[in-house]
Amino acid sequence: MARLILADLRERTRAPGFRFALLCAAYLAWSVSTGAFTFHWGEFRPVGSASWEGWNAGLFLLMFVSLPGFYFVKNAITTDLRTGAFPLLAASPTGNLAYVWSKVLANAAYLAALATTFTALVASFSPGDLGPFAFPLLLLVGPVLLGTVAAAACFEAVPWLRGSLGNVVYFVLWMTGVGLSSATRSPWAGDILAFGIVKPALMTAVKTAFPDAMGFWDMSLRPEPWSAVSWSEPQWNMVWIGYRLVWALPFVTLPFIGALALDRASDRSPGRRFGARGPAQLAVRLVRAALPKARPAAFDGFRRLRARCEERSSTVYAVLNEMTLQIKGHPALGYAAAAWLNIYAVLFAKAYDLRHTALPLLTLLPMTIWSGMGSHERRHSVAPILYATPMSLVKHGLTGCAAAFVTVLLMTAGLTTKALVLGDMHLVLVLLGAAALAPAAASVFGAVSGSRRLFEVVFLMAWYSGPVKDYYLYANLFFLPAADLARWLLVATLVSLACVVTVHGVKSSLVRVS
Amino acid sequence: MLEIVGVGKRYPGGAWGVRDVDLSVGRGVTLLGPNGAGKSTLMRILATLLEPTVGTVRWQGEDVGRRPNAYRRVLGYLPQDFGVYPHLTAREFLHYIAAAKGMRRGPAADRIDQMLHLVSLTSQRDKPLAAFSGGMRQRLGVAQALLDDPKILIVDEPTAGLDPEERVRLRSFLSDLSADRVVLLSTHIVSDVESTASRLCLLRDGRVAWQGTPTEIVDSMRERVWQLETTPDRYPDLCDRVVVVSAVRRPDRISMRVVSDQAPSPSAVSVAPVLEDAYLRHVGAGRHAS
Repeated sequence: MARLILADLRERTRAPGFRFALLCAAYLAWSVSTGAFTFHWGEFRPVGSASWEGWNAGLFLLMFVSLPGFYFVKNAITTDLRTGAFPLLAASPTGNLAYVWSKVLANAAYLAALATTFTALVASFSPGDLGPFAFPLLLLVGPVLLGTVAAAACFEAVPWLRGSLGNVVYFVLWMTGVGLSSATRSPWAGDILAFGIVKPALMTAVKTAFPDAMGFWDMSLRPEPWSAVSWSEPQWNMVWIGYRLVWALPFVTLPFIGALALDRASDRSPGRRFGARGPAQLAVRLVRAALPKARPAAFDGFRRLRARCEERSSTVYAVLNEMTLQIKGHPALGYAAAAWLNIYAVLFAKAYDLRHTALPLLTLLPMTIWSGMGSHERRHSVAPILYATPMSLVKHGLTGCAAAFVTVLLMTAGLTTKALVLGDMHLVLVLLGAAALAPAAASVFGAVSGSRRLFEVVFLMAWYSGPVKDYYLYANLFFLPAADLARWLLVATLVSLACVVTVHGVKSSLVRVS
Repeated sequence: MLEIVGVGKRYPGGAWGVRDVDLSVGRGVTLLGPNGAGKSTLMRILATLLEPTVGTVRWQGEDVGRRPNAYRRVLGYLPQDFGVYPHLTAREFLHYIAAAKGMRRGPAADRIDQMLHLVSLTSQRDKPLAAFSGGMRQRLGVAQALLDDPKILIVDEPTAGLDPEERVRLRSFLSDLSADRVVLLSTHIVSDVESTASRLCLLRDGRVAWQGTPTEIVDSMRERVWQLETTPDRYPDLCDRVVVVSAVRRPDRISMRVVSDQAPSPSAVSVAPVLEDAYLRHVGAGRHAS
């Protein structure tokens, strides 16, 4: 197993993604050390305390390891499938359990390298002595690191969690974990991120200095004029240590679940998709069986209309074919959910529901359509064929954006119509903005990273802080005059399209050099 | 006329993929060489997927690098390794490629039907490509390369993954195509050349080892191919002095077919050369007849 781990680790640490991950760890370490990134309670935080800096760094490392860390390492089995190494290993005497554990341990080594880099940089940047923090750091980060790497391997082993759905599921689980940890005032068993150890100590420090102080526990990602309080380090006790170790137990079972779910006969990197078989497939078959006569007529009409549109220009022909590529291969369940949400929006939803239920869900559903952009030709090895055609990569990128824009407009037609009926122009503009900006961002991220994950992580964070949580920047969109919002979105769209042109232009010149 | 003038490609790290390649391609040319000889690198340069470090590729006298898209409009390319979008059907995939080639829908639809018929995939046209076998994908690759009736057809190891019947059919089809267009084919299978090449270019270590017609290269081997019998104890010594084409072991002796400029032993009999003998002499295994 040691050789499997070493080979896996060598392969992944030699890839450009590892250097990007190291850069992220270094940037985080610098931001934490300079005080730009900090946890705080209201407007208060300890200043000039090496102990606090250590705890603060530890909490940020927890966040880093558990969220970006998961997406950094969730490609071990996928890489084996993509490179064709998986069938070789599947035909070897290596058992499922040994294989999954080797991935877990390789993931752990990968993240440990990032965590060590982060810790070393924080220690070198910070003026104080962080040495005494080493043991608590292990107790803080250890269980989370184990959970992250075990979840990543398990998600990859379960075919329908291997792709985008797994990325979304993990994000939701992570947000739930953050919510539970933020809600608690004691380090109980639900507090995976250990906020319950630090938060009460910080509150005590604040209340001691400022008895009337008001505020809440939060994380800041920009420098603020903090009011300083003196920090009294929480002392570890056996109960806390026990709670941290308790977290390790359920995570140890994840590789066993992964080993049970791993299909050695699998030869497809995206994995079997949720909804591609089972109940969803059965439902699709039933619908088809129930409409034996109506279906051909409807489909023929649609095909004739499409052919007529395609014959008008080669650009329309290219856009519609790009739409076919983007739409196909996703679970029917997602489209059924989109259809239902549109019906719900048109028939039942009130103005509030449109913004707070239909919009968040309908902007999440196209994520898998967007995230394939910019990288699908590389992931499916179609690049050598496409790059030898007269269509430039820039035009290819723009065609993809146009196709995704039309697809999303179709997927949200009911919501848009209802918003227009209710006169909610802000909602219509936000939808149009999402339909224009998200594909452009996906195209750029996909072209740069060559994978879907970078866009998915960034999009999920934006989606959570925007349509779901209504945070500052997003909420302000709805307070702008509609004309200003339209202007702002137009500028943003033009800038993002310029990024598409630039990135694909640079890519096309790099492709021919390498 | 496609002209390759002093083309070389040096990869990061300093290794040359191909070097000093000069070649004029009027009709059909086959690049023949062992794995790693630089065939695919040269093919990728000709398909505009790779920029040469030195030299130029000219089509009708114009440098291809200056207006690559104009050149791509007359180019059909079948890469050695390529994938397909697994959720699309064969017809949808070809429509997708046709759109990328800038074709109009009407002509593309007719041409797609023709190509699917040509590569015997008509009955499979509405099946998802995920269900296609390796040979079917290869045939689909051929169909996409021919979609816009290209003036230049570059096919890199096209017979890889095909069964014997499909290989014979594809070879004769490529041979027919080379009657009125530039067809550049690369292979490391000698039998592919015998039935397709009007001209042959042997590549070795990234350089052109020999070029001409198959007949010329076979003729150049006259009085250089020998049939002989030897004993097992003299066999290793003989192997060091000649290029062994074949050796059949019998209980007390070994029958050999070898390539050598001079008769390797008094009992050796000169035999009629074939293309494989020439291939082995020029690019095979690094051993040359003294």
